[in-house]
Amino acid sequence: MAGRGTAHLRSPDASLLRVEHLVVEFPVGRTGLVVNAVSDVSLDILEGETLGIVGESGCGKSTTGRAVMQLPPPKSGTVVYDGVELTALKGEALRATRPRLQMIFQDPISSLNPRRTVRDIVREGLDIWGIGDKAARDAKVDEVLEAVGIDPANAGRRPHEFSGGQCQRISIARAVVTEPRLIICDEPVSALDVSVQAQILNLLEDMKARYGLTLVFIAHDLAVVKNVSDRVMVMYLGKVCEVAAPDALYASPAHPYTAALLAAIPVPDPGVRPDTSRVLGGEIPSPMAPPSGCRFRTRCPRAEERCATEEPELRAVADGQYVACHFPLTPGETIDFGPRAG
Amino acid sequence: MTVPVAEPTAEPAPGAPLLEVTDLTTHFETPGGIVRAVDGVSLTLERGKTLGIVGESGSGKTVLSRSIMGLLPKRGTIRGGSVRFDGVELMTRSPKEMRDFWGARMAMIFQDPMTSLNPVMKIGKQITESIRHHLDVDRDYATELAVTLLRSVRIPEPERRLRDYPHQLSGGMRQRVCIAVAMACGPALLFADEPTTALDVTVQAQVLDLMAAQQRERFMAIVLITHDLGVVAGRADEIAVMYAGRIVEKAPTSVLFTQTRMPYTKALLSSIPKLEHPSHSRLATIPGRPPNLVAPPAGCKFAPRCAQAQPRCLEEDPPLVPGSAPGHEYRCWFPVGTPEGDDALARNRAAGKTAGTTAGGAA
Repeated sequence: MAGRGTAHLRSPDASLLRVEHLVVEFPVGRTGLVVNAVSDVSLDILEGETLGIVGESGCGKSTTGRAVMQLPPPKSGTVVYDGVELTALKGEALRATRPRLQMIFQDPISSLNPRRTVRDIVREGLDIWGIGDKAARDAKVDEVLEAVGIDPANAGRRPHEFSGGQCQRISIARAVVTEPRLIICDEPVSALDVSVQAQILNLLEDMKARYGLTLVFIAHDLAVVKNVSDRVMVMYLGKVCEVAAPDALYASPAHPYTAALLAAIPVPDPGVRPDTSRVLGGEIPSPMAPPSGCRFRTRCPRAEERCATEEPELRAVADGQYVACHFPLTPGETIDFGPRAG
Repeated sequence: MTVPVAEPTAEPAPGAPLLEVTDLTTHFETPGGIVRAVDGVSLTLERGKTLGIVGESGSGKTVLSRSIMGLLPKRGTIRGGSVRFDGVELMTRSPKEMRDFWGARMAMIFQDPMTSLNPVMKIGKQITESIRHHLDVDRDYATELAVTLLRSVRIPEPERRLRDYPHQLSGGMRQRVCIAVAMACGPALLFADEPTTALDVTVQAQVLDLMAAQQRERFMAIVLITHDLGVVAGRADEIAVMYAGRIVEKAPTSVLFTQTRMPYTKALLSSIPKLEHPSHSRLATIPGRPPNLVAPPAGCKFAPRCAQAQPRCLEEDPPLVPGSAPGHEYRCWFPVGTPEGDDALARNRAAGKTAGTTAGGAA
């Protein structure tokens, strides 16, 4: 629950992105208080891998993604992307990393400038960085639009003439046009209908294969994350709970919070009645005054004295499965969250 | 706990269903033409039961619920058909007459809990407002009732929360306040329009469980509107799937999942990512987009996107026909799971195209 540690990191030579001890805090007005958005999070991604980050609102998953982009720069910690320490970069040097490190946002419509044509939106990155001559840029824009399933003949239109799913395709085209190696996808399908969501998830897989991309996929829907990821990281209140390959994580969650998240997923099968006892009760505590020790302990039925005093460190419980919990679940064990507390 | 219930405004008809909608149409006049948002929907709902309405954006599910409640603006809206609630015809009632029903007998929970609460009114006032309007009680009693309601939706420290503004609460807490507001006068019918779409999975489970608990306690009927078949699977007694302003398949929940007949329902079900599937499984998708409701295609509205479409589907509009199980109805000439349907699918697969794509309908 909500612990720290770097046991899950792999060799630094192999990773495309390596984040260690990332801390992001936001001041609260002039009160002197701070929101502990991300507290000592470490992660790494190998070339060509997709890392899924899941958790509830306020767990710091989006802030982690943005801190990698240095939007805003983290308070402390290191972010090494492709051998370059991003936290040490400023101004022009940082800007120069942008074409190699792109982002896709949740709301496809508000993330596109409504006054510009789709062609201009997708082309802008190429124009700014002066990649290729005019004809080459036009050809490149046509190519990526074609790749994401937008007819280049419609590129003269503006975003409002497209549906939400098409706008998300345009966002993806804009992200891949500068040929980045890493794309951070922040809830890219949360605003879409299930049928459109399936199209976009398939498209992301296609893009990954076609352009050799590495993805960070941030979402709150565990089924979606499982579908796209090679490795999944579960976060709670600014801390890492568990890191594992998706099949292992879903088959035998070791962290009580992971088990709670899995139990809360509505199953599209009427034979499965929702099990009230396995649903997590209560509210996420304030990130301005997070609980001591393990941050999940206030909602955890297994919490003991030790959880309040000592923060759990990530440790391996199985091959490739790491958990930050003093009392992890053994495979096959279920957890009862009891009658819903107020 | 017990909460006083508003006096019924008319004599309830014994034996009649709580809600009976017959051939409801709702069209909007727009500069581009008449939008057929709801096009001939019939449904019934018994007391204490849950009806799930499922469909993509633009399928008309939200307009349907607003039209049943009479919440649509008068201007530019053309409504037809009949809505009988507890034996009373609602279609002919003016908004002023409908006020006796809204909040008191039928209530609604909206998708976005932030915008459906008044941001400059304390939540206590928002709850007591409808209590004071519909029930003949004094202020102290209304406040007491509001505390009871907040406690019943499991809001900690309800006395203190009454004096909070909506922005001081989290999204899940706000949605619980919305439920408390909706429950205030003990309605017989609750419309929940995507009540959990804006919430996290854990909070979603909490809110849906809470609605189920309130339903049992009050013997209330619920219309649960969502685009997620997973949400309604374990919670609705009956599910109606909407497409292009119509019900395309309606069945008791277990029948809908086990004896799916309409290709659209099947396509919706298979596009959901499933936990049991290994990572990187290719998801089934529905090609194309929902039809333009100003000029919907002739024949079956889903034919241009349907994997089983045959020439007949493009010409003749399939009527709602009963399935083998009681209460099961669907619209399809070549239903899934029947010899005709399998044959149509096999023919299309062999040809590598459907009647819809040959007609240039699908994208």
